Order: sequence, then C-alpha cells, then structure tokens
Amino acid sequence: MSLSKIHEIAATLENEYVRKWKSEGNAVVGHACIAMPKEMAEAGKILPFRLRGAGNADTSTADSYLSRYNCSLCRSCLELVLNGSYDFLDGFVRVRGCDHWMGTFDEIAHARKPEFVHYLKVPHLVNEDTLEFFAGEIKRLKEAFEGRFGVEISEDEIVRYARIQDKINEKMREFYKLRFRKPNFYGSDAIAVMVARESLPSDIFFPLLDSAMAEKRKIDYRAKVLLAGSPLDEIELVRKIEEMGALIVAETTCFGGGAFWNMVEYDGSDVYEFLARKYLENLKICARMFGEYAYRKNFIKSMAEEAEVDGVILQHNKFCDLFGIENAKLRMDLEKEGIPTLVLEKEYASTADIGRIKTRVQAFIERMGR
Amino acid sequence: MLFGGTDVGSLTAQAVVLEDGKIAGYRNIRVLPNPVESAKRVMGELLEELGLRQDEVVIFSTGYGREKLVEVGFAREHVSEISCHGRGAFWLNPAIRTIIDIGGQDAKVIRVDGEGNLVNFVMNDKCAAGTGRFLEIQAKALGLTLDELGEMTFRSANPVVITARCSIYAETEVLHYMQRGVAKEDIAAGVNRSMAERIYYLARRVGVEREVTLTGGVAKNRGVKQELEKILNVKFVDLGVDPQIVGALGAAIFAMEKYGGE
Repeated sequence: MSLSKIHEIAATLENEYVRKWKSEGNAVVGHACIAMPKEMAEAGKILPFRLRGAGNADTSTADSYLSRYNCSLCRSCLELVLNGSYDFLDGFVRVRGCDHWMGTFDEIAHARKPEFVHYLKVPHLVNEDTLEFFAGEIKRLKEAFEGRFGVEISEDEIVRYARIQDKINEKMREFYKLRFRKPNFYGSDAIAVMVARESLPSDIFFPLLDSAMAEKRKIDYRAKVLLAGSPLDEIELVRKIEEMGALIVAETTCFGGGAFWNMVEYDGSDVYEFLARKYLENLKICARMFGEYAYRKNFIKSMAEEAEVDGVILQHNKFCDLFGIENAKLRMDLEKEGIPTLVLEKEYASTADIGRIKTRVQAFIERMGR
Repeated sequence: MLFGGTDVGSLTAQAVVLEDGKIAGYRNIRVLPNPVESAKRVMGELLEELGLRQDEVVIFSTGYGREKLVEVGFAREHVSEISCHGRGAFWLNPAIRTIIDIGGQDAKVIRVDGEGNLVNFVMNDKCAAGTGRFLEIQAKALGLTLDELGEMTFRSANPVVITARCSIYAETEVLHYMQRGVAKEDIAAGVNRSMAERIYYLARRVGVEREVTLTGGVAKNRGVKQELEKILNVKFVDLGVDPQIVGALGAAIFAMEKYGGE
C-alpha cells in the first residue's frame, strides 16, 4: 500500500499532503538542487519542493524562452511552470546549480513574476573560505524566508529538523541495502521514493518509507546495474531499462543515493557552519563541483562494489556539458578498472528515444554475458 | 534443423536461413513502414524461395521491432543487433575481433573476443554524423546516386576538406564548394573521407583490434571503405557474403546455438 502511495505521490505534482500543508497556512517553495538546506526551510514551516519534469516531454512553450540547446529536463520543468502546473508554489529558491538551471530560473522570474525568488549562491569549491561564504548564504536565505513568509526560524528548530533528516538518511541507506545483494525493489521504486521525499514534509515521508520497506517484492532480472550521471527523475525510463532485464540496484545521481548516501549527521557544532559543511561537502557528487572528479569516481566505484553490480550506466541529457564530459572520462576510467560501462545520451522523457536506449541496454546486458 | 534470423534496419530488412550449419539462403528488401511487416515479408519471401514453411524454422529477430516479433509469435527470441553483427561476422571468420557496422541511421563499432562473445561496443548517439543518412544527404546535394558517390574517391586527386561534423552543416559546405565551382569528384571524395573520419572517432572510443571487417549498407561504398582502411591503418577482411546480411545471420546463429541441440 505504502509503495503504491509513494508511486502515486511521485506521479503527482501537487499531492494531497502538499494541499493539506498549504491549507494549514504553510508555504511551499520550489528549488532544483540538493544543496537546498531542507531542515532550515522546514524549521520555518516552509516545505522545500524540488522541481521535476514529471515525465513531461512537451516543451513547446519553454522552447520559445530557452532554446533547444538547453538541457531538456530544465525545459520540461520550465514548461510545467509556464503552464501553471507549479502554481501551488509560493516562490522559488534559485539554488546555484548549473547554468542551464540558472537560465531556467531567469525565465521563470521573467515570465511568471513570482512574488518570492531568492538566489542561494553555492560555491564550486569546498575549502575553509567557501564554507564560511556558504554559511553566510544560508543565513541570508533564512532571513529571506523570515521576511517574506513572516516566520521565525530558530536554531533549535533547525537542529530538531536536522536530526529528523539524519533519521531519514539512515532509513534511506537501509532501504538501498535492501536492493543490493538480493534485490527486493525495482530501481523505478527507488526513484519514486526519492521523488516522493523531495515532495513531502519529512514527518509524512518517514513513516511512508518505513512501511514501504516492508513490502518487499519478488524481482526478476538478468543483470544488476548502477545508474550514475545527471539528475534523473524519469521513473518510466528506468522501468523501460528494467524491462530489458537490467535491474537498477543503486544510483549515485542526485535523485538517488547522491542526495543522502554521504550526508554527515548533526554533530552539535554551530548550526550554520554545520549546514554549510553538510550540503557543500555532499555536493561533491555533482559534476558542477571543481576538482572533485576523483571523489565522484570513487563514490561510483565503492557503491558499485557494495551493491555487487555487473556494470554501470552513465547517463546524461543532450547538451548537459557537465555530465557529458564527465561521463566520457568516467567510462574510460571505469572500463580500465574492469567495470563494464555504458554511456547513454538522451532527451528528457522522449518516447522516441526509448527504442534507441533499449537496443543499447540489451547489448550491454549481452556484453556482460547475462 | 533449420534456423532463421531477421534484421530490420531503417532502410532495408534482411532474412537468413541456416540449414545443417550452412547458409541455405538470404534475402534483402527495402523496408515497409512497419518493421514487423518488413520482417515477415522478407522472411516469407525467403522461405517461399527455399520451399520451406515458417513452422519448420526456429527464428530469432534483431533490429527494429525485434521484441514485437517475439510477442506476436513470429520469432522465438530476440537479440540486439550489436551482438548479432558480432556473432555473424565471427562465425564467418573466427579471426575477426572488430566489426564496424554502418547502417542507414546508426553506426556501431563492435569488439568480440576469441570466442565471438561481445566484449565492448560503441554506437553513434543522437546524431546522423557517421551514418548512411549522412551519405544520402550529401549525395543528394551533389546530384549523385550512392553508388556514384562511392566511386568518386577513385577519380579525385584533390579531395576537399569537410570540417563540419554535423550532417546539415556538412551539406552547407558541400553546396559552398559547388558554388565555388570545385569539381564534383573532389567534393564527393571529401565527403567519403569525412565520413571515414567520423567513424574513426567512434572507433577510437573502444579501440580497434585486428582482424577488422566492415558490414552494413555503407560497406558497399568503396570510397568510404578505402578511406576508412587508410585512416585506421587496417585492411578490412571480406566476409564473402553480402555485408548487409551479417546481422540477420548472427540472429540465425544465436537460434542455432541455443536450439540446435534439441
């Protein structure tokens, strides 16, 4: 029941819990990056809702704002904002992810003129100076929330929600381990879980995840695969890959393990310094962070080993320069280390792409001798 | 026992039947709008020619519509065209380790091991560069047939340089050269060379191990073939069959390997 509820939430933008949250007078803000300090927003009764494409392949209006040379996930999200699907949001936090997202937020601000848009600057390096800078940026975000939504965000409340996030992260790791050796869930279930997490208040998500984990499934597959690369919320695409027999048992993407696997827990230190460290350190999983290639490669390798996968699929949307370049290098390095690797370049949610992708996945499984 | 394979591409469809471990016959047709109908038509024509019934042959499918052919009960199983080209080429010549297959819409470089197993592959991504379609576009711009385009390499002393990787921009360059009055032979030879360069970049991603063969429709373009041999510094092994049937042959071989013991 809980797993089907999670799939239902993942398939809906304004879900029933969001509606209830809003009916109680609370705000919901949209963002598009895992550098968003969730506990700080929730401490002010502001729900951080991560923008996603929700499988929307029609970008006809968005294409007149952005161009066809922009990432199709961004264009898909922009289309949903433009057509009113995200009208339940009370504003946006323009978290500094990649340039495609920055352009998307520029167009959102221009076309929809939301009452609240705050720019959260995120450094591209992790060192003492940038951590201090980012802690200051998080404080500025807190003040912006307080000013716009008339709430008070206390440090005690941030700590309380940080501890809840720690519990959720721990539970997510347990959930992932149920997919490793003898998989009990499909990768499409895991993506749905991640999408639901990004769309729900934490006190709703935790018990849902807990009970979904009890609903172990019987899984048929030919090969176990780790999915890496650019942000991927396409449940249908993962389902199609799995129909070919390539079971996704782990992801290092930011709609997967990358969002929580290496997250540090609250250690009692200054709350803003802690949040800066927690989110910036974790962001090393993203190709937008400079000088952290080795970190990302080792993350993929260690998760591939732990999940005992037969191979790795590195995917990115066309025109995603960050992951396009990174995936080319990763493929060479992982292959050198004996890990079969397939690079998939795709367009977001394109059904015309499915046949092409399935051919490559099928050949990849055959290559792995499965 | 009899085993068959069908391979439906973007422009042509092939069928092969094996009898007692030998090629009993093959057929190659232009595709119909529906890939399932293409496979049924090409295999139907071949079976009729061989005087066989469909239920006498264990058929494996590859290429477009391969899954659907299994769903509708026409084929017993389906295998990717990548594995099929690899297995087909290796079966024809066990010294083969690299297969370069260039079809109408995709180009693949396939590596097999000493037992014919697929060890690596690379395909063109969302781009027509390096596919038969690239040649079609340029041939049309030059007012040549595909066969004529291939032969131009042997009549040109000064092939032009086509710098654009994109098929559309390359066509612009071709038109530019034509407007400047450059000889058609030199432009066409430049097109064949630039096609070979595109495949070279693809091949570098998985490496090229000898022996190497060229399959697919573009293998019939002598100009591209020669340029590719030059740039890769290899001599392609002639498999002794129509290079377009290798995928269908591979499917038939997989059927034979799996059900031959029954």
